[in-house]
Amino acid sequence: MLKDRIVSESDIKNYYRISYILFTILLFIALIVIIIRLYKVQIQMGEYYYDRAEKNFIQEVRLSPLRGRILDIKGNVIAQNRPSFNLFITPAFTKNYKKTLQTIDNLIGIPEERFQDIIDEIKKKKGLERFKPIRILTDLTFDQIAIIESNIEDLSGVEILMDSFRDYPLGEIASHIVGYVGEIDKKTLQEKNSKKEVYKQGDIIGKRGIELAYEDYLRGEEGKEYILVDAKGFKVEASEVQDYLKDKIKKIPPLPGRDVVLTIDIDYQRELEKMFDVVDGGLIAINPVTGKIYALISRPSFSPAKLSQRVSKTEWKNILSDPLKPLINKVTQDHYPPGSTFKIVSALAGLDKKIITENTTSFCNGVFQFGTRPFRCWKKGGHGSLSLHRAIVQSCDVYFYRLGDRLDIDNIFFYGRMLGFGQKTGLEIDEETSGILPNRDYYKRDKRFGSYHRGYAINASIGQGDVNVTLIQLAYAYAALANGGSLLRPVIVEEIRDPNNNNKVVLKNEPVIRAELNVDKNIITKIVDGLYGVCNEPGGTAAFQKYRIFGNNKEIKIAGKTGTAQVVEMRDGKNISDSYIHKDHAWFVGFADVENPEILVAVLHKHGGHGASGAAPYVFKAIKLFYEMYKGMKFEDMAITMNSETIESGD
Amino acid sequence: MDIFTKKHSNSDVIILGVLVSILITIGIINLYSVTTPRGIEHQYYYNQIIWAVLGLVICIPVIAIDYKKYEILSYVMYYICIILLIMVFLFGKTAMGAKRWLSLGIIQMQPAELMKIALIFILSKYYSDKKEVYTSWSIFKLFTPFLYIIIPFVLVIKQPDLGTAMIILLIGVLIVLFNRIKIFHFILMSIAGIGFAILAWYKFLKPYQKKRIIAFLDPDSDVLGSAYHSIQSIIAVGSGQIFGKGYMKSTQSQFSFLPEQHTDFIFSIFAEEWGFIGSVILLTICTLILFQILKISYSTEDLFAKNISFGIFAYFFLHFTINVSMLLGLMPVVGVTFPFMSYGGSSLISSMILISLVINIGLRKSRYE
Repeated sequence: MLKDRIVSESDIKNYYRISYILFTILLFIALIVIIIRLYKVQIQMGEYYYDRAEKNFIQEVRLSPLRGRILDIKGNVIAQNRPSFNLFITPAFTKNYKKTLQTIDNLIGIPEERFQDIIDEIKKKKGLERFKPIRILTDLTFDQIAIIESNIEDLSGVEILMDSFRDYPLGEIASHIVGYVGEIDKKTLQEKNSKKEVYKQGDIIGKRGIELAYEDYLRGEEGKEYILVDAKGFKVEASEVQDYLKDKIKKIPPLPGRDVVLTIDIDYQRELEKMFDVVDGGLIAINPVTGKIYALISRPSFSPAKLSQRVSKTEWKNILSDPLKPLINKVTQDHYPPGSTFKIVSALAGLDKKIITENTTSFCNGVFQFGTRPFRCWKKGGHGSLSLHRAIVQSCDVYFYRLGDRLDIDNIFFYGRMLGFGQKTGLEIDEETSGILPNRDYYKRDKRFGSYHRGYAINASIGQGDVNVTLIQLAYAYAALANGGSLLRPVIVEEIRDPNNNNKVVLKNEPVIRAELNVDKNIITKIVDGLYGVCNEPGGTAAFQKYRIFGNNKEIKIAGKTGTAQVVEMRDGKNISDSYIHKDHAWFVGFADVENPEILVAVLHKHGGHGASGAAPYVFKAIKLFYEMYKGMKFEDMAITMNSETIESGD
Repeated sequence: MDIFTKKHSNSDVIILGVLVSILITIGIINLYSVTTPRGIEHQYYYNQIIWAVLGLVICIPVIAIDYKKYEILSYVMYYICIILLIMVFLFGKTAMGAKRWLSLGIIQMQPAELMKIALIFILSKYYSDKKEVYTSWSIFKLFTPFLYIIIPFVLVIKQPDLGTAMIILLIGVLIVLFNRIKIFHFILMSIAGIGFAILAWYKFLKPYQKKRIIAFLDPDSDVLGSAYHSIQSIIAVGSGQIFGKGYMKSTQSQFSFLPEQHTDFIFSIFAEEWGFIGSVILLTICTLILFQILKISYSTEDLFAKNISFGIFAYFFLHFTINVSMLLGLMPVVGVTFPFMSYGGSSLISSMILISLVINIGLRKSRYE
């Protein structure tokens, strides 16, 4: 083909023809290739790239909603929002961030750990991320603001921005009810996002208590604002000729969260917090007929406001390593042997199973000999011969040992469950523990025990051994007796209101009956009679304490039960140590009025000693306060000094 | 002045002139859109109008003087360009990490741009003068054109200006291919070219050039880094969809997501505002211009004129395809303008001069029939 290389002038056209053909083909191939590519980019992928172009210059700015308030039953504010001034630094606008931070530290002080955290955070930011402000300090005081403002010229890239801040005007009061908020952690963020809930890093979320349990109502819906940004991330305004952009700049305002109204009465709660000045323990006051909670205290308490801010690592470490566990709700989250307060279960079982009748008597000489093992009564000399009624009144251990031995552990289990033990009560706040209610299987399953023997039932009958209950379980078990047989679910939220919609009630809690006690009503009456005797009859374990607080008042018929839970085993009827951590836990549950129950208060005073002295006074005072505050009753001041060992009950 | 007599004018020349005028007009309208909504001074499109008018004035003598008279300039122009490129290498002005500009008093120039034209001339001169090249297929006959191509190529790639160097190389190669070589020699050249490319990767390319090539191979790997231009360009083009966003509604331009939007990336903005339909029409106009040049080249029997007009075809073909390919993500981003539409006086005027030369040839082809 190439032989004809030699070209003459006349051959030129022929010689080049092939070149022209090939280059014409090349030209149209190039056009077709480019058109195919254009088709792919503009038509097939057009919508995708259109979105990407929109995302380039339209930036979605999240507008955080105001968190809903937490109110008490009367509308008093427990948690709300207030403006706070926070200090931010934008890395892209700071020439030397280390120097700038040092200047701020010199002016108003930055906690050491925080200082390092900010430096680490700034180092991580790359590219456009450097245009986003990073928080240095939260909630500046007016003095701090003034200092920063007057030095702002030296602080390039530093600015004070206003934000909403969670405020708890009551301080530590009701801290275990309300909980606290904080920045969402990574794990929760993943969980929430996997459930398609819109949370972003740095968002404030409920961490405990009502704040956590009612997060979905309190949070509100975030709004969105679409702003125009240029390639460098700066906000720009649309110019006159850009009116086609107008409909892209939208603003959807955020919807504030709903207000959660509690059944708590803060005035009552506050008075009880003043009165219940124990180091470690819990108190719960409820309506035994509706199940509504009037007050709930766990000691020690914490400061919701403080925990809602950035808590330094050392502070957290201190809180978590505190032996008194301030973050544990002692009413719902920790369980303890109930001691004699558990005797209602044995009594109920004995009567319903017809193992005993109200007339069955038993003789207590201070010890119940089971094989080689002596089970001692709290009263060394014994109670002598007594009926069930007197056994409850005097909290005789031997009577119940004998009953327990005949009952068998599975019956105690059955009636324990009937009264709500060994299961969660259903309170929404915090993760409840269900306590321990052993049965035969429990001992068989657990290798520590190996097998079941009768001694376990004997121990369980007086609430010792492996029986563990929470204070809230105890309160609702007694409420079931007080109200004539309904096991109720705790109610702490009265209603939820929507401030966006004229405060319309979006959720209202009605009393919920978990179960009716499937026993003869007479049995309940008989047990309640016994509980009345505890507070009113001679020899009643709480009679003296009741007298100390109520005197001879006959208007209010109070019933109740003491309980003393051993922390360590007794040796020969004596505690091995008198040190604080070896002291017994004191329990008392009391309610009034027996005929028309309106208030039930349960107290756990950890290491408070005997139930009668360590717990009962708080319950009686709480009941007294209730009648003073709500029924307008007046009680004479009692000034009885306690000096008699014999009057003081050992249970 | 025989060019104005009807006898010599023909329809190919008129069509070419009309198509180029349309393209320049579209370019000015497009420049108005790129700058006005952002409130930038109107000087871009305004300057472009002035340059277009200036270009027209320069075109008149270029068309009027017989192209044969330019033939003698071939060697002079080439060697002057080589000297200028060496001067750039020695005294050039550094801008954005590269020495491309030569400052001659008030005028600043890029000798590399001029080199493209000088190369067309010297190769055309070579292939029209040395008729003995046609008498043998010896590979040694390729040695002279090889030197003509490779010397400016190396000088430009050292500046470094990868885009221009590639265009110089490809213009040369296309002219050599146009004059036909053995397929075996073509294969040998290709192997040598690939070998050189590998050598260049390790010896001549600056890190930012390598980054651009890597970014081209995997554009999403580094969104804010070197692939940024490529991605933003494709977003601009793609977001135009079928009918475009409408005139003066390019958000990629107005929010500065495309750098150099008025020069190298001008087609992206056009495609964003006018969509697939507008882009296809525009590219069809470009193709028709190229086809018209090819047609004129074919119809002349003068070897020098054939080679010159083919070289000009190669020049525009490479500019259009490389520019559009890089904006569509088919090629790495290199600095290549879109002729007639990209902002810039020297680009516009030199393009107009080249078209004038083709018109010149087209008007005089009958003389050699």
